[in-house]
Amino acid sequence: MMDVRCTVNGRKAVLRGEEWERLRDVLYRSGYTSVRDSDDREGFAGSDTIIFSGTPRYSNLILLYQAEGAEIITPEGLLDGRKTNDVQDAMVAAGVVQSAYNAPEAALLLTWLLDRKPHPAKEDIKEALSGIFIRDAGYEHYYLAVKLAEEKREYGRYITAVSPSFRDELSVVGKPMPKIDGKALVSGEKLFVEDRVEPNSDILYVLRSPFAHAYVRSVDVSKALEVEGVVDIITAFNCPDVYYMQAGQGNPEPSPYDRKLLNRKVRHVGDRVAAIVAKDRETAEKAAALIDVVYDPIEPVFTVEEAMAEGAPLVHNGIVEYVSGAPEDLDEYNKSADKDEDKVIYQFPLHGDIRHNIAAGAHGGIGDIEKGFEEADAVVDSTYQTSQPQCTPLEPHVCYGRIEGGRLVLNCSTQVPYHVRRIVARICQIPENKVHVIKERVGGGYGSKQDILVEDLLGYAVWRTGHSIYYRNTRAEEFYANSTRHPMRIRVKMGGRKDGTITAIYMDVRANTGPYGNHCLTVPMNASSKTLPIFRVDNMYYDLLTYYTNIPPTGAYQGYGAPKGYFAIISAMGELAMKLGIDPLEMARKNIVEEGYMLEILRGLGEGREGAVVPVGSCGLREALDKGAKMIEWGKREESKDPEWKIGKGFAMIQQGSGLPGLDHSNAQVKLLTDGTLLVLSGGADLGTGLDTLSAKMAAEVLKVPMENISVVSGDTDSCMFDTGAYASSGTYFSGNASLNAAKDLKQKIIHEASLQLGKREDELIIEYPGVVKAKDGTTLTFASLSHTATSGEGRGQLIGTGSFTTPNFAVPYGAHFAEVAVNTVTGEIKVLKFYALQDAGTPINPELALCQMYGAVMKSIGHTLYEDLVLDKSGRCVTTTFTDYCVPMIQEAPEDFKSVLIDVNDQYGPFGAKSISEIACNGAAPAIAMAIADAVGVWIRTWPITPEKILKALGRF
Amino acid sequence: MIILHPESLEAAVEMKRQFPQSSYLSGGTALLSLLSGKDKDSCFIDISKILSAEIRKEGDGVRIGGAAKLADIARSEILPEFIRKSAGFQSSLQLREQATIGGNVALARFDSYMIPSLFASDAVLSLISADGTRDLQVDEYVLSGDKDSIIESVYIRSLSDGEAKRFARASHAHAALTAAHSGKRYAYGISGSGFAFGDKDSYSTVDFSTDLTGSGDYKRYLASVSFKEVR
Ligand SMILES: Cc1cc2nc3c(=O)[nH]c(=O)nc-3n(C[C@H](O)[C@H](O)[C@H](O)COP(=O)(O)OP(=O)(O)OC[C@H]3O[C@@H](n4cnc5c(N)ncnc54)[C@H](O)[C@@H]3O)c2cc1C
Ligand code: FES
Repeated sequence: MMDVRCTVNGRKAVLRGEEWERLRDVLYRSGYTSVRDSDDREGFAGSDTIIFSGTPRYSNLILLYQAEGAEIITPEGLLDGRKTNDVQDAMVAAGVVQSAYNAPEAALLLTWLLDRKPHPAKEDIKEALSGIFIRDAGYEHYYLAVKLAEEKREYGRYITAVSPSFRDELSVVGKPMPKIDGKALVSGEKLFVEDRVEPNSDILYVLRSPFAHAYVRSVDVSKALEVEGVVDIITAFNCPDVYYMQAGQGNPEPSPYDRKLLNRKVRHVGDRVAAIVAKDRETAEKAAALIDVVYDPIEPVFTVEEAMAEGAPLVHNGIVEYVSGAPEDLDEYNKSADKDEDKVIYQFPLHGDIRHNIAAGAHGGIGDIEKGFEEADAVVDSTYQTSQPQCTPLEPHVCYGRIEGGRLVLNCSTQVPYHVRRIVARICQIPENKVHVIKERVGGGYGSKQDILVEDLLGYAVWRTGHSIYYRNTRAEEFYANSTRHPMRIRVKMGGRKDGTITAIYMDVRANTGPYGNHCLTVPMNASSKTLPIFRVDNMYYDLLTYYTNIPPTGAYQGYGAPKGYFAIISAMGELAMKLGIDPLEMARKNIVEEGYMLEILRGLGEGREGAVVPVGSCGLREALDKGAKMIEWGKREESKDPEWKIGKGFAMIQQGSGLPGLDHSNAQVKLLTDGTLLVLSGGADLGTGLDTLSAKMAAEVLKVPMENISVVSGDTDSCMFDTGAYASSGTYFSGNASLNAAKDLKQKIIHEASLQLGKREDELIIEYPGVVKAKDGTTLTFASLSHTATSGEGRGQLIGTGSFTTPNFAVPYGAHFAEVAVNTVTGEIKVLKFYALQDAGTPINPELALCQMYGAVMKSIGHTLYEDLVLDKSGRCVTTTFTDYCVPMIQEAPEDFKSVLIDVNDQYGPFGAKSISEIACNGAAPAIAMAIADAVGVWIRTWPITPEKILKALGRF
Repeated sequence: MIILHPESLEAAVEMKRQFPQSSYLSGGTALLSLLSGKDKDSCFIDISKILSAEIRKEGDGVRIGGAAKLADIARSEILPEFIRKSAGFQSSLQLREQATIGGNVALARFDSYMIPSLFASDAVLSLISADGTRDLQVDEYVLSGDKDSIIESVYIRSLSDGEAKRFARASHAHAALTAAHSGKRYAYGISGSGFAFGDKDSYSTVDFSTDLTGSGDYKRYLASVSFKEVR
């Protein structure tokens, strides 16, 4: 142990630790908890940034002794007491503080920049943020944040509008205003799971399979259990005999129960073999080395092609059961089951056939597809292949659990607290009332935290041992043992006439679900169910088959299957337009749906059941196309000064959904506290997207109280009511509507109570700002007074509004994304020069957050399109286990001219007319960029990622 | 982990002789990156405080201290533009402020930021080892595989203009190819394959192999078109 004398945040400090310890670890332990790590000390993500004797540095790459005499500034140093500085405030105002795992570090960097350069140029800001990876809000509004901070310094206020405002008649809805948890997040408060871990807690470590496909014949843990500090070891041979699946979906799930906590067969490199509970990682690693596993390897399959080949090795080949709807020949089917394998239990038929590696299937359509192709003047038939992007949240999957009062308490970073409760209770074989899930702030989810990938094992380990246990995925585990987008091979056949009418569309989707069937029906379904309904085409049909393979697990990812479907279908439309010699934009305009159009296609697109046919609701699609075309000067050919660089333009029209009507369910309560302020209890899981702020706005708008009089507690399964969770773009529409209904309920109760207290009729009373009941004769009663009386010794009790929300109605967001790219015809290099994302989100409740959601989602999809690639070697081992290897986009990759535009449309079903915003924004980049590249250099690249090498190949350069 | 703190370069190289498995610790951006469980098994000889970081004119050239940060090189106005640009290939501000030229050259990664430019500018390394001091050209150093000497400084002999290129999928991605030339001196660093030093066609002797950054054919083609005047 050594003492290092330095200054931290302007004060003398002594940092104590081992000489060789990372400064980051010592700082965190010493209470500077905003200094985090996102990549196991790779030196990439910048969540550990500090200012070290005047320069920004990664504290993970500094050893403790090197800090002797140093002047260190951590994000805590930006605060004056609890007061945030002007840069932090500007970041909150600009909407960039979202999941915010490293937002404090970004604030530190920008403060450092502004101290040295009070009026930085765009390049300076880029440079300041060059070493920090931001996945949530994109980089664009960071430029705005700097501008706002400069304005505040110069004029004492912000001059530039943060975002447009919507709905003049409303006071807070549709107006940019600081996210209610923004300050806490940007100041680096202890809000994440890791901050909850008590000293002396044990850790969980997972021994993982080196084989992609093998029977586990035995696991001998006897020697490992003798290691001092090892508490328990869980294997396939002593874990509960409980089948489940990890996709956090509504119950009954449209995914098969095809696993236990640990299985007698491993199905991907990195699959769980043993879970070790130990006092620390070092002990666990020592124990892991002593575990004797006898594997019996089987030939693996990695691609859809390999999985569908005649006689291919079977990834699952146990007994198949159905909870409902079992086929009549099931006994016959099960005769060939492998007795060494565990079962696969379908909740209801998903048209799977595991004896052919098929996890799920579906098909359907409208019209007469063959007739449609006969009527066409030209037909294209192309196949597109997408890759396996990973969500890469800056905070990896993490969970902390302990026993309290005989109950299992889990601190989680999850999108689905109530599904976590249900599934963990099932695995532990205890009722739900014994489990308490607390959703902490989520340092990035993007779908991967919809899946219950670590809480299952950790929850069980805690329940079994009674110990407090912490688990955190390494960054490498995030890549190979977590969840990713399902790779898909999508064939699109599209026919059209010379006048631009599309006569028929056929989609053949072959998806790769990997080792387990998480979302195996619904993600691939989305490739068709979120794309075909945007077309006003009479003849459309799709076939879908999802295959089990031995690649790393797949699951939910923002956009679900839609980004892949759009890549294929819009590229095909572009190819068809090119073939017909017509403008693809004109073709789009001719074939898109409009409000009121009956969506017959939906009948065959229900997720595992017949879908409801509904008309198109509010729809800003045409406006988005028209506006976007104008902004990018569609039709005008741009010439580069350098003849090697060719410039092209492309676009994609897009849609998504807002939650799952008929399946999703949200609840909320609004409590009137004794001083007249409000507490909203929402089941919804705020992932940093501003859902809590939205809930507060619902209450503020209905009950006419100032925002600062409202606090929100959400996603805590003890104090809040049930909500299916934050996925499928459900937050605003479902959880938001539940909060709205709860606020309306409380309003009625307030009026009722006021009428009793004032002795007036209810219809004589109204509610006015700031939280006052007013009678026609001018008598007023403040909420404070009303609540005080209601909760006094003679009162009628506390007023609580309750609201729930379910619906058969769809609130579909639409949009159009436009890209302008430059392609170097000699080197294949690609630059996205312009990107314009135009979306109709109904009434954007938090417009500045909505814009940042769009920037963030577009950046992710630019990443998937051009850079990111999860690569496996021949044995199925993932070789891209760091951010650098996997290649995520940084600020340098953001388009030079990047704009998000909200199309103003009011929806009839959403809360105050709102629809969803973020998932849809993942759908446009791939097809728009692919089309722009084709426009620039005449070649269509049909596989992700679109690399310079692929372009050069297509151009015949080598 | 053992960390040794020599007070002079001579003492440092002596320690290295005694503990051949140890590593010199300079900026630490490579040594400390991703190192975790093995932290405890490592032995570092910290040379960061005893090595010069100065960048100064000397004769007709410029001498860069082995501990000079890539950020300082990128900012230095006495260095040719293309050398400054190569230091800027390290695209993270935080890493640039920590990574040293000595460490960069010593690593001799095929996607090295600096080595092609240093060769193009006819740089000579001043090395010190337990056997004494010596000067070596960059290409000779790379080929020697010397891990025992400390790069005390780098002397840039030619301040002529040149060009530096880095071909990577994204700013922070591994480069498929880094290349530089000044006058008739060309150098190529090819990911997963090797270095080539010499004239513009020197790359043709390299055995181009496939890795995450692309196929061997792609890299060979890129090398052939790296510089406009040879296209
Ligand atoms: C995310 C990330 C990406 C990176 N990408 C690249 C890249 O694309 N290209 C690239 O070239 N580098 C890359 N690096 C590695 C590294 O940042 C640079 O090469 C840097 O310049 C190394 O310098 P350093 O001072 O930090 O070296 P250190 O980490 O201190 O040392 C690196 C090696 O050089 C030796 N050494 C250090 N100084 C000397 C000296 N003066 N004399 C002799 N031996 C010495 C050390 O013993 C060690 O073996 C990357 C690093 C990270 C974290
Ligand atoms: S080393 Fe910086 S976030 Fe991990």
